[in-house]
Amino acid sequence: MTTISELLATKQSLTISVNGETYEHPLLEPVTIKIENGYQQTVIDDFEIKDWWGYMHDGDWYFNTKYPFYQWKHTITDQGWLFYQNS
Amino acid sequence: MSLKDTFCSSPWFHAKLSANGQLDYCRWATELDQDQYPENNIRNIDPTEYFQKTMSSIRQDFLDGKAVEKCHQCYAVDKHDKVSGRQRQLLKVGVTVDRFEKTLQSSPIRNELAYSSDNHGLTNYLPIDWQVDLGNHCNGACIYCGPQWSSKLAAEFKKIGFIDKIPDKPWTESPKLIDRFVNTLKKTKHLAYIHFLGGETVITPAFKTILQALIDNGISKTVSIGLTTNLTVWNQEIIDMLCEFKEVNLGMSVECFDPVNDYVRYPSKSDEVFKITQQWVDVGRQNNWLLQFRITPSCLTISKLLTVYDYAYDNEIAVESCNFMTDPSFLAPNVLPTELREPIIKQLEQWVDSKQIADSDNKIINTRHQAFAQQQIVQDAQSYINYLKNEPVINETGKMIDFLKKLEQSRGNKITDYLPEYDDYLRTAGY
Repeated sequence: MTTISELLATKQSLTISVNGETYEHPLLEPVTIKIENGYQQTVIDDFEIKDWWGYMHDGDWYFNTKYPFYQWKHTITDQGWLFYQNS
Repeated sequence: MSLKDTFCSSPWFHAKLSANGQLDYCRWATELDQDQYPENNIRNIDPTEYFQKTMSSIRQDFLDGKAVEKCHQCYAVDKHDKVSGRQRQLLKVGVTVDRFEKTLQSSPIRNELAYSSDNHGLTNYLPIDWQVDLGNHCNGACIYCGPQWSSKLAAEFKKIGFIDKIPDKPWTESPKLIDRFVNTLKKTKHLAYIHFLGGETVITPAFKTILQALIDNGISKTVSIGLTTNLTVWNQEIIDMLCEFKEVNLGMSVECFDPVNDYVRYPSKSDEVFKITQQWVDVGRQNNWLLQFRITPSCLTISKLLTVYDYAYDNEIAVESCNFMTDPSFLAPNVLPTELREPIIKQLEQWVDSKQIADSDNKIINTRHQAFAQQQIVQDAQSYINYLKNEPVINETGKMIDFLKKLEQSRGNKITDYLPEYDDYLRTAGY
């Protein structure tokens, strides 16, 4: 890969692991996870998701990034500005 | 070099306006020979046209994966594991070098990168992150500075014979050009950050003029501003104006809390500098400003760097130097011979070890966040250890001595009074 347009054309995915079970997820789609009977270890691309970043409802644990995962990660890890432009 | 090592997102959201009115694509890039490109001066081109059209070629170079010659300082900084301007600019659009491909695809500017790729580097964006150089109005004459940054130094250099003429008037002395610039800001949606540099910002008349224009136009409520001050002046009127802004990033320039600071940042007085530092820190804390020390380590101050690190660490204030000094090359830390570097390396290593901050793979790129300040300072210290260990010695001590002797004749001081431990080294080289 030598140019940005080649990079942008490459299909990428996230590797999500919940309690050791692994699956792939489209890179740009927000991540939604539901774990029945409460939080279990959740890791996305080697980044551990803390249980308090989700919420409990009726005994199940829910997690939703709402944005592409890496934009969400930028915010949750206090990386400062995330510029959105005005094209 | 691979894409992750060359690409920079900065030209999609950032521009720089130099003191002479020259527009440029980056605050970290090596400056162009200004006279060569008069068409890129705010006197001759609207900043919007410059950004959207003229900067297309630099965007295209980055899109094509080219290592851009003017960006060599960032590439050099990356090599020593220091945080480069390039990495800071990437982070502002969510891109990190360690996860480059995925974070770039996920970036909020992804679509605009694709647009520029399809349109020869053009963009419809406007800069939302500016560096604005106000001119050389300054009460200081730091020895590594230049006439274009300090009026005091310009006068002294002319008297000594280092220069033939003092720099032309800055763009900020023209009310028409200030209007042109402020009008660009007024029409910029999502304008995020404007960083002002002097001279000494706080005493530069244009700084007050522009702040007032931003306040009058309501821009102050939605924009963050940054300034760098030399810690020798206090101006309550300016501080009251700064309080009108959404956020203030305050850069406090100092080399060390040691008398050698007085020699390097002539004619400051270290006691006074320390007192004014405390005043700025207090007002910054009261107003929740982001505080940083801005250091420019040279061969004359790197042995005293710990005095700043200590104060900053205890007060949880980040420490940032843009690049490793390269200009003037004869004052850069890599002038120091190995035998003088060794005790400095040892001192820095002991200090880093004493902080017991876990060695983390997660490099702190967002160096302005107070929560990361202590870890960031240790990281910065480590980058200077790497630099001193690995950067080859350059043979420019003779040039340094010629320069210092001429300045000392003008100033009536002597470096060996401040750094007696350099006495043998300097005298052997002809001091």
